[in-house]
Amino acid sequence: MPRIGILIDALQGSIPASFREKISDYVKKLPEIAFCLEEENLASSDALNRIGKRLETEGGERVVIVGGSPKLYETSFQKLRHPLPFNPYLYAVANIREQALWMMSDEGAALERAKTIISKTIRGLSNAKPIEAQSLPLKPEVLIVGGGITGISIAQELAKSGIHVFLLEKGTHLGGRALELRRFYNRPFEVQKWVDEKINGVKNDPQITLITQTELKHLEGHLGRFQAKIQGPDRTETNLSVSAIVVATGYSVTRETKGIYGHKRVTVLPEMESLLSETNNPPLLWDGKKVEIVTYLLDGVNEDMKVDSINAVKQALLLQEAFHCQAAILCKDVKVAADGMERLYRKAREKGVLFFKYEEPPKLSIVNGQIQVSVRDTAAIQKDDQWPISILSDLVVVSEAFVPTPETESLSGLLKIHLGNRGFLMEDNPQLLRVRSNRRGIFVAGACRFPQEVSESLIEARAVAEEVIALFSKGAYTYDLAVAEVDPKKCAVCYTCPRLCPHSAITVEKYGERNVYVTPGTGGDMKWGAAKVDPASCYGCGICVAECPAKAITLRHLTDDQVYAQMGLME
Amino acid sequence: MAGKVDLSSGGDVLIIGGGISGITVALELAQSGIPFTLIEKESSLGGLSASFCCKASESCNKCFACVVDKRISEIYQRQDISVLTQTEVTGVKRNGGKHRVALQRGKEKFELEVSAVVIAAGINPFDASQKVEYGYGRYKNVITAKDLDEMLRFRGALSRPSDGKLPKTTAFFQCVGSRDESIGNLYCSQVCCAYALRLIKAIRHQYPEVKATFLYMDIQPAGASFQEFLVSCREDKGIRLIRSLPSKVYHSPLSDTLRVRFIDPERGEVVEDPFDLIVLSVGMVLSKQARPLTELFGLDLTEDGFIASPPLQSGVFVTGACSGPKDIDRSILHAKSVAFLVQQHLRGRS
Repeated sequence: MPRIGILIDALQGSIPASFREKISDYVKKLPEIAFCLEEENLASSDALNRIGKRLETEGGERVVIVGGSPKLYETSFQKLRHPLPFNPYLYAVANIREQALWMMSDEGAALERAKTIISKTIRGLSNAKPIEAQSLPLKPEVLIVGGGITGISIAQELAKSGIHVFLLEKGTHLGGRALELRRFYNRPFEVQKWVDEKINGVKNDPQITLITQTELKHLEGHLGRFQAKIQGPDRTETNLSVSAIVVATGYSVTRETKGIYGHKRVTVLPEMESLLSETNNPPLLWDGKKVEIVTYLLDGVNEDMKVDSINAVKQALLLQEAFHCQAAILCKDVKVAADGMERLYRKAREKGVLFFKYEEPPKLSIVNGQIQVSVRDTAAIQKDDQWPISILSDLVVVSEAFVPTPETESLSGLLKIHLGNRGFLMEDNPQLLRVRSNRRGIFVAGACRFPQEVSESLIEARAVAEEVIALFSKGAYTYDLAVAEVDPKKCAVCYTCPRLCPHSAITVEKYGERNVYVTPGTGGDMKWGAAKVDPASCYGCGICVAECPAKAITLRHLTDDQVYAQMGLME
Repeated sequence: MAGKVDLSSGGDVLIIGGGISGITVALELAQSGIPFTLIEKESSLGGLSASFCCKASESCNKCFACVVDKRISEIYQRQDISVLTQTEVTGVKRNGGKHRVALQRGKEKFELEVSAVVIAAGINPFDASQKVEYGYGRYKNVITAKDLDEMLRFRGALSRPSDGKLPKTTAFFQCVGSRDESIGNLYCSQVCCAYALRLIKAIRHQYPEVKATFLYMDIQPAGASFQEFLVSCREDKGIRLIRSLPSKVYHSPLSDTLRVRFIDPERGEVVEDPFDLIVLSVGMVLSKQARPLTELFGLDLTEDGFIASPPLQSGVFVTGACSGPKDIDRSILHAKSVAFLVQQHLRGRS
């Protein structure tokens, strides 16, 4: 039986001295006790030194703190930052203050309860094992899926940090949807020149291996040891081994073409963008005819995205200023939640752009070859004054719906990362924060997570680069082995745990000699694999432990034996 | 606070401000093994966001308040981070490529020489008493969203400041100090719509009898999960979303209610509705402490009064909401991107 040191928290006002005395008398009689100390300030360096010395002289390695809430000691140990004289997994707290002393009105009953708590804590701790740290070497090689502006930026930032990048693009050229953009709303320089410079930078960077017309087909392994199978043109397959993966596959669009939306005077924002950049001087021509009135119809789709609103205001201002057109923007909400956007919106209004906020969708009809947009003017207070307004437009500009790219779903399947509720990858998650995925070593950035403005994507790109270099900074990933572990002899290969694991840390494979499962009644020939937890990918959440029908999985830092011992079920 | 600092070398980087942005930069640098000093003028870390409460209703509403608590305890867990609280910058000298920063902690004065400085000075909530017509500071039951947040976090219950009773009807005024020409703030604070709606959701979950009216100009989206959340707000019968900013608040001393004058598009007229509690969604302004910093480091302000990012080679970096309005999520993201730039800067130097 391992010998255990008992520390009684003698902080003033915490546990009365008389009660402590009785506890101390009781504890000293227990067989597994090495020593019993009273300390006024447990987390002070003096106290920790004393504890360390006693552990050394009495030959123990485990400590039970008898006192208040475990949280109290955790935070004070953390705050003081002295190295603990014991393995952090080899101490336990018996909370006799909140769970006994404060709970019972009768002191005798409280003492009895405190004794039970202490003996249970001691039993639990006797079964605990020290948890050692492990280290996984990482070679600085990263695979980036998607050669859009986000993927390109990440590749460049990583290359600058001395990490080798494989940049995978399924199409023939880089740049993605940024090529549709001609002007930034908040920066003076031209988008195309800026994108071209970046693309050239990527092409000439010796740290970046550019692979175009190639898709990711298969992925195996975990952080530090990913094995990716990629398929190029002519179905040639190549294997890549990388330490981490960044997904930046962007988004797709769908365009409504039914009914009047198929009319040649209805266009979409990117087409308008290129028309505006190709026309140098007024008049603006569309289909050979002069354009004077342009109506933007927003929020039919992408209601929760800022991008369309930003682009529409930017274009409308240009129409008004440079092309002497009359522009009107119809939307549900004017989205100005971006730096500098409110000023741009006000400027647009000053220059004569009309804004209408609608609740019922505006009606479109064809009148003399032009498109009439009818909307109720909700600016008037009185309901009776809210006249319908008709705008006879030469051109109606609508949004394209932003949707996940067609391969997003299969990609999420082969990478085993989560899909959000709208089919984009991941979503807002306070546990993982942005750019991290549910799997360690796989990151998600840019519009494949959520379509957004370019400057936001660039910040995400740098944040991904930061995450990756932080991961690689020491050349290895170091972690505590406080993870789940499968006993292969007990595993029935039922595939419950790989399906349930939220971090895809469990695979079924053949490993070790012990790992042999013989199906009953089939003789000794059938040899199967067993479930295996990758310790570097496991978060130690315990879901698989609870669900395993064969009880083949345990948490190394909280074994079943520990829990049973604590419950008194071991005797 | 222990955090021993060898004052002769405070590391390569000085991080000014121990809010969520400063903490994030610190943790990122620590992971890469870059020595730095984090200073905070208050006695504890966390800044503004440390006073936010969890705004979950039936499920998580993605307010990210819990992230801040976690990050603070992560800072404390690490042995290798030097944190100086109650410390302020009093002067700075450029010394070649280095910054010699004079610091003061209580009466103790000392200097640090660093290669890079990260300014994460944060924001202040807009001073709502400037909007005289809403009566903040005059009427007890007019509070700011931050007051409400702190009430929920530290007292754990919703009550009316005047008599401690549960307010049955509440009104949330949006854009107080944002998008407002009359006070010169021509920007959207970007976070308040989602912030106020999450508060409403959390209150409605805890007190289903409390009705909320949300008075707004435009609802600004906030992230990938916002649409679903907004739909659930619209479907909730206890929440009225009205596109109209109120013009004035009157106090009726007899019933101790507040009458709010606004245009109700539903009824099509100017109405005066009574409310038990009024919550002002105050916008963001640059923190008071940031202004002297901008002078010391010779930084410019943007048109909107936030700190403009100086050129990269200057070795001074600005992050978090003091560089423009940001919520917790975006502050963390931005801080990570700045931590990357800092490391690039240091690498270029060595």
